[in-house]
Amino acid sequence: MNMTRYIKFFFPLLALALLTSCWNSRELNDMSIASALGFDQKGDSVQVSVQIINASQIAATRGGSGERLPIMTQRAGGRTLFEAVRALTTKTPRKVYASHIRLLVIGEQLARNGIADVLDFVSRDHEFRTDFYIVIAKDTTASDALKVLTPLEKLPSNKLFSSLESAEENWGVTATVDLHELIFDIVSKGKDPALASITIVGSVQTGQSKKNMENVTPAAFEKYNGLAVFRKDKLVGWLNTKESKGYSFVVGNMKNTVVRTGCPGGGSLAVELNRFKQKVKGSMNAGKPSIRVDLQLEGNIGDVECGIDLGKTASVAEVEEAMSDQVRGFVEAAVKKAKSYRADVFGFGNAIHRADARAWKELEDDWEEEFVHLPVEVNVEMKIRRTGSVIQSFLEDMED
Amino acid sequence: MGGLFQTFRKIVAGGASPKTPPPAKPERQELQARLSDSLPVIRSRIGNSPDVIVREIMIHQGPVPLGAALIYTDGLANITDMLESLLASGREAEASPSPDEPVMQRLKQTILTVGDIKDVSDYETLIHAVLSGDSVLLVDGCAEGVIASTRNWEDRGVNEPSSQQLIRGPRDGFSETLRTNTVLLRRKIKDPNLWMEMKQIGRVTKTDVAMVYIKGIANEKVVGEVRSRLDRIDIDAILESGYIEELIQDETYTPFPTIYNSERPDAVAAGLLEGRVAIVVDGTPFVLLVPALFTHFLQTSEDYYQRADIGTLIRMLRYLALFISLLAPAAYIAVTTFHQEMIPTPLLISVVAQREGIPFPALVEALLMEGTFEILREAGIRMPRAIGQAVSIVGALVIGQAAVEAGLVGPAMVIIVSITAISNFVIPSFNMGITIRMIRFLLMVLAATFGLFGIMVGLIAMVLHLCSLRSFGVPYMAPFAPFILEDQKDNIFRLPHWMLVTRPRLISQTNTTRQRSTKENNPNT
Repeated sequence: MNMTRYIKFFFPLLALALLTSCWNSRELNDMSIASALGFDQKGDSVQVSVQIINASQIAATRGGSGERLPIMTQRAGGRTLFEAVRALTTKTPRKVYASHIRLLVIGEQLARNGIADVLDFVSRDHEFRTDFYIVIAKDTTASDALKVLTPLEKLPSNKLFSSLESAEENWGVTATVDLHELIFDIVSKGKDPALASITIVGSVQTGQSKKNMENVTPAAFEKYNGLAVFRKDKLVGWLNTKESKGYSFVVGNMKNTVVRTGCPGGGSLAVELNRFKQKVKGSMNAGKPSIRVDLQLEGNIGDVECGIDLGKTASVAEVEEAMSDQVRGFVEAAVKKAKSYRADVFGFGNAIHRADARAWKELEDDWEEEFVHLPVEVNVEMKIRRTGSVIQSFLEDMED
Repeated sequence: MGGLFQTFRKIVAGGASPKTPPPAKPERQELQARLSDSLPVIRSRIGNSPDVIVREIMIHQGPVPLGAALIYTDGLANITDMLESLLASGREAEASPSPDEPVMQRLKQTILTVGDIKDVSDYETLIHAVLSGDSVLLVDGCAEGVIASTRNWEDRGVNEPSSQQLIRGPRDGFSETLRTNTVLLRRKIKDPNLWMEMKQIGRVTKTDVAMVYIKGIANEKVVGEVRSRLDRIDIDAILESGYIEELIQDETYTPFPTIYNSERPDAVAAGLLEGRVAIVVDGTPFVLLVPALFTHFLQTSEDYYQRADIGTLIRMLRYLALFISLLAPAAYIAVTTFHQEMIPTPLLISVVAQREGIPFPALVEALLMEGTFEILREAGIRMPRAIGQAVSIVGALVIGQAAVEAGLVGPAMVIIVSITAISNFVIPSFNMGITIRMIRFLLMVLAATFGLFGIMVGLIAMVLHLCSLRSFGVPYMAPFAPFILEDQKDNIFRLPHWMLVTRPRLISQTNTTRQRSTKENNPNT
């Protein structure tokens, strides 16, 4: 009868419920949640540093009375990354749970020797959620970069994560790159990766003690510092702030930034750029590749520190002209620097590929060389939309 | 496994039907003509019970006064009218005694002032009538008596139903008297096609059961099926309609109710108008309604009394509450023990902080809290009202702050349990609510062993089971499965009344049109 069928259905189900020995159920209080990972090289072994959250110090309810620190970092080494990660269990109270990491920091030394090996583990392991950002620790080790405590955000990696995003959005000198993008760039022949870099200001010794959280201006802190340029998977150099902005303009990462330019009569003036249209066009002329970068920018004048008369159309046009030159200068500087590193971080190779796939077939094998001699034409079209809530600067009246 | 179960069934089956034949029906025994013969028989049959009263009187019809006896049950019958008419007739007897006319006929035609009378000629019927509250008049020398309908006993009256309250809508509710209940239905539907069939079920209790339906709207096959299932019942007692429900439902091995019950005449009347069959049982205010579909248990009368948009939104809210009540603890367990990567990081951190120092795994924590809540709830229902308050205070402590502060459970779990419990109360039908509560525990165990995968498997099994159910031949999940586009007008959505042109398709198959077409009915045209 019907009932027999049910019983036949339920018995195996019941049996299954009892046979759960090797299933990955784990209680929340049996794991250490990692908020950031760091990879370093030491001799021929890989060092893994992990920043573990002390949840009860961070959660709002159990007031972070400052009794204990919000994080703990540990480091372990091994010939392979996997070994190193498992070796961590000898130093952490519970198994490290890496799904929630916000940041993956790679030490400069390791980055210079190539990061492809460590990325394989990260992309292979099922526990990583791949929505974290990857940054390079400049002039320091990843391990140290994970140690600096911050007074405002209880979780240092959270501070780095959100500061990275806001710096990209409002200043345009960093790049948020996640694992997929990075691997894609490494594999792609027509583009090299560029990653945000981070430096420690002050000493790590003070940065990792609780005292650091007790100062209004922390004695040690971390800041983003231009971009790290890679050739394939190897770090080759750095872009400064100006060049980083130029990079962001070309690849279309720019969302909002401020650019200063000089006034005709001396003094300076700053414009907030908030609308961007960017086009990178590759073409082949007589077997020679060339690139044209078109930028259409819109912005508002935000700060006038000179006696320019903005009431006149002509002076606005002058500002637009000056701004275009300024931005073109950024882009050209970035291109020049990248050429000196022989690293096509802008993806110009891909643009050529899109424009003429057949020609690219011939170029792609020594694109590195071609890139160095690649003519890049930059056209900037600048429009000033608004001049803020006043037209004339009161500075002019003052001078009278 | 199958074999094991067979054995189990044999044991159960053996216990349920002992090999004794039904008690032989006592032979029909004709009334005797002389009162001196018949009255002792009656007295001995009912064991001289003092509540059955045999009042001997004299009536003056004809030349000589005749001895007569009025038999009734004290408290069940109101015999004031009977006695008055009989005794008054004696005083006026000389007025027109016509000796040719049989006394009995004269009594019935001109003397008795009671509405409904019947003849009786055997002891069985007589005693049953007396015990049902009618009174029987026997006249010396006649082998025949008169049953007069004098039923009148203490009744709770028509009160507001306590189990299915609503804001807007009629306040009357069924009571324990069958007649009152059928009256309430008649008052709602004044149509000659509202037919009732009476049955007596129960070897000992002889409970009156009325089958009510609207001829021409109700599906004849369903009516016939209800009739034959009622006739098949052989049980000693029917004390509540729940007995009938269990004895006539399509599928016994299911947690889901396939028969709807209601205390509200308006809900039952609405069901009748859709073509359902109501079963009214004497002695209980709960009237059964068949066929009952899954969606039926998530609807209330008020959906139709409030404006259509309100009705629709509230129904959607109920479905949401159904899923919360079914899944919330299971999903919490699954996500916190298997799929931590699914929780947003800040939330995870705070949940982890809460669970810091809690000694139990999430499943035990959840079972502890859910179990406590179920106990409190059960206690709250049975409790004398005076103690109720004490329980709610203790309960608030046990599943509230105190449990958290004692470090037994985390605050997140308290929230989950509370939202689950409250959502469960949103399900309008109590028996469906209990079903969901039971399945919830099963899903919690599945979630703790297999995570979300287990929940999915559990849900799929549940849906398969639901789709296999039928209520009096109608697929239980209609109009979801089979999907009936036309009936979606009154399923999760409740469209305005002028758009509810047809009756549910699988319920009433003969007379499906309720009103003119939507176009003609639209008040805006």
